Amino acid sequence: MRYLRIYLNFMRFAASRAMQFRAELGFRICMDVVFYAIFLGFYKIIYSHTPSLGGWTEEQALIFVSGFMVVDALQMTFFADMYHSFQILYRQGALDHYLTKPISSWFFVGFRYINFASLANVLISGSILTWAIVHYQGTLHWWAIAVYILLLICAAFLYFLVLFSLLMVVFWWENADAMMAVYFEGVNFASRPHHIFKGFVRGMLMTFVPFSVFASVPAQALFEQVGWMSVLHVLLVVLLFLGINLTVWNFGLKRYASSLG
Amino acid sequence: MKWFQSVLAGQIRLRLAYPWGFWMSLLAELFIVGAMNWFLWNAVVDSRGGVGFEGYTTMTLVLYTMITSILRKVQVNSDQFAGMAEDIYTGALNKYLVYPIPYFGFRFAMHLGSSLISLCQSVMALALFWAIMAQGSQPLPGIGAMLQFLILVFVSIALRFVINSAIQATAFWFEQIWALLVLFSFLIALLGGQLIPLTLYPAWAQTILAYTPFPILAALPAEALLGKLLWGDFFWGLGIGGLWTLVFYGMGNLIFRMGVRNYSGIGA
Repeated sequence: MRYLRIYLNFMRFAASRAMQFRAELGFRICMDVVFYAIFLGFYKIIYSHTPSLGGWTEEQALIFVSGFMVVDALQMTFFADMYHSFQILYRQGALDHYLTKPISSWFFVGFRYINFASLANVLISGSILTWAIVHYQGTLHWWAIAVYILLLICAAFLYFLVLFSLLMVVFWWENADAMMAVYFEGVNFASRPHHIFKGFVRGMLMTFVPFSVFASVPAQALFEQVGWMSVLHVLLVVLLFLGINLTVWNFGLKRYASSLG
Repeated sequence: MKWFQSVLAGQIRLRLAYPWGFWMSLLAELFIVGAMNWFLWNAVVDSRGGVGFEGYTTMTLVLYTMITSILRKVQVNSDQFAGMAEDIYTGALNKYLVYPIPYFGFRFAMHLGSSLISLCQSVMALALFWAIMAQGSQPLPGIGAMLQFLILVFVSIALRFVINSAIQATAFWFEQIWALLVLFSFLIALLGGQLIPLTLYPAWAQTILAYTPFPILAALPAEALLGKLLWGDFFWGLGIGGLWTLVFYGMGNLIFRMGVRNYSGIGA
């Protein structure tokens, strides 16, 4: 309860910050709308040349890619601002401030930076996903949809966990910009159905570089009317990366030498 | 124009002093883009019963996306991405306003210096991949294709610079303009054929896009290097690209002058 109360305070401050820059809020919404248009346009063109992709029809691909957009919007809202702030905190020695608080420093650093400007994108991407589900010709039970939404929330958390694990190289290398650049390029794998990948690449994308777990495996669980193996898969990967995250954080803090890293 | 050469040379030296960050991100990007598109297009061809696309093998499509990826890195340099806006926000613009050289020219020299180094590094990496992995499916480009490619790349560098400048000049009024810059990058991905060759788009879309500034920023140079761009289409693209460069140059200048009139000198 204490952590929930603190988190609600983070949200309150974020909301007041977002309302200070209204034009920028508009730009950000426009940017994300075009971002969604890229994915929708991409699959529209692909499916104008083929009836299926990786075993999924156009309707299924639309649900899958909308799910990816929701995951992206959620992580943009609740975590993305932290990706840049964390490195600055480390380099300026400002992490000290977080270490002295009577709550988990990992929680404070990871969850403090909420961007309310992106909340509109959760609504937009959520609306696209709703439209895609409503227009789906096959059967989707309500409980399968409910589990799917929970999996997407888990996937947004996983997105954060994976990137935060990479950012923690800053404790050893002083700079994680290259890691971030590689991650943001690699995350494009998440916007493709996992069935199209084969062999070693697919194995990696399902486990240690879990981009396919962000949206493709949850979509698989939905189309199987709650494929419990897929659900278990997502949960295990989230737990794996949560463990990695906390372990690396503790090791990293032992190396942290306060001011100017 | 001695100042232009000197700024250009300075920027080239700076880029050469720290080449590893670019190499790392370039190689990672080429590997990721190459692998992803290899699997994607193989899956598409499989689902079409093994029927490919006319004029494009799977490897040609992979090469296409790799070329459009390197174009993105050549046209926009991370160290220059929002440099003008940063000058406005921090007040660093002051010193440039009293320099006896045009601010846009100074910035363009820096941009060109970074782009030239990015182009050389990118072409080296791509040539190596092409020669080792793709030569069997797609012959290496001839002299004509390389000439078309280089001319279009230089026009695209100038066009992207003036577009980004026009957007960044709005920093006099807005506190954050990075979303607008990223928005334009997304538009290129969608409308410039960065992810899929424009020839696979519906015919009506191809007709409309031919008049826009987007194809020259991605599809046209890629098609040129793959030897698929007819000379007629090359000259059309060049003309349209040149025209849009002038339009955005004029817009950027106008917005910048209006902004400077309200500029306080201690940051916008």
